[in-house]
Amino acid sequence: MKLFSVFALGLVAASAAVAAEGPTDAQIAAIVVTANQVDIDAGELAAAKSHAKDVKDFASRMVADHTGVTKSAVDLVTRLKVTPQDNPTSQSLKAGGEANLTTLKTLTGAAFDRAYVDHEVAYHEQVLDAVDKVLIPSARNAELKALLVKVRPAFVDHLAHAKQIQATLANKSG
Amino acid sequence: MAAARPGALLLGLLVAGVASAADTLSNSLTHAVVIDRLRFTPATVVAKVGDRIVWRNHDPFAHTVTALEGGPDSGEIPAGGTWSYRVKAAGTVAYICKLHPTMRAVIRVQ
Repeated sequence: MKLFSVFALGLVAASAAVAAEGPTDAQIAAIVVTANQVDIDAGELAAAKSHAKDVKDFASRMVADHTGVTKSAVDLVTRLKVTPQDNPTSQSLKAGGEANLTTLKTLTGAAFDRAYVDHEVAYHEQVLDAVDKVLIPSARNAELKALLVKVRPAFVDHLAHAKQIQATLANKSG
Repeated sequence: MAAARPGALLLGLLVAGVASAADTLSNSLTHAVVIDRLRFTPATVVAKVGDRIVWRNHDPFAHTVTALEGGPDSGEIPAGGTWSYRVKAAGTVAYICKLHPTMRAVIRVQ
């Protein structure tokens, strides 16, 4: 019991330390731009490569919406004179995006569609989690925080849309 | 962004006000709907035949106003764009953004 309490206290302290040392606004800017670019790159590949209309339409939507979000973010940080700063989170997002593209390029047809859509579901879940737990709580500039709050519903919609297509694809293959 | 919203809303009200004045002769009204954070606000517009509804897109990407069964279809309304529709018949029109399946709203025509 005592050991458990010490362990629990340690976890709380570690979480508090992470929250206190959360990313700076410059790092958040880099995370936002990279997260959007990763999804744009996958969307461009899927829009060109998929033969399923719903997958192609979804992929084009990802390219259009995430391009819009990136533009808003870049316009804001330019106005705020914040230079996006690379950091472990943005680097890991970039590496994950590249690994996904490498996998997708080896696949075709229904296998490609499933892999792309499965990844979109997981990716949007991950990004939403980061937006809620790290990015919004850590953003210091009010306008940057407001931008994150503003674009959050788009990620929720994309996740719902991706799950809907995932279910359709599962029915087709079943 | 937070600072820009009241200005944009005020502009929307002004536009609606001018349009209402122009419509006074025909006794019809103009209703403003804001599209922001993937929501149509208000989610229900109560209008009369002949009224005009103006949607203004405040999101950084395109949306549509598309009736589920027949009725209006705006096509893509770009970021910052507007689309206007004159109500033609009585009844309830449920509409969505066909680009974003979670967005739904209603026009109730008396």
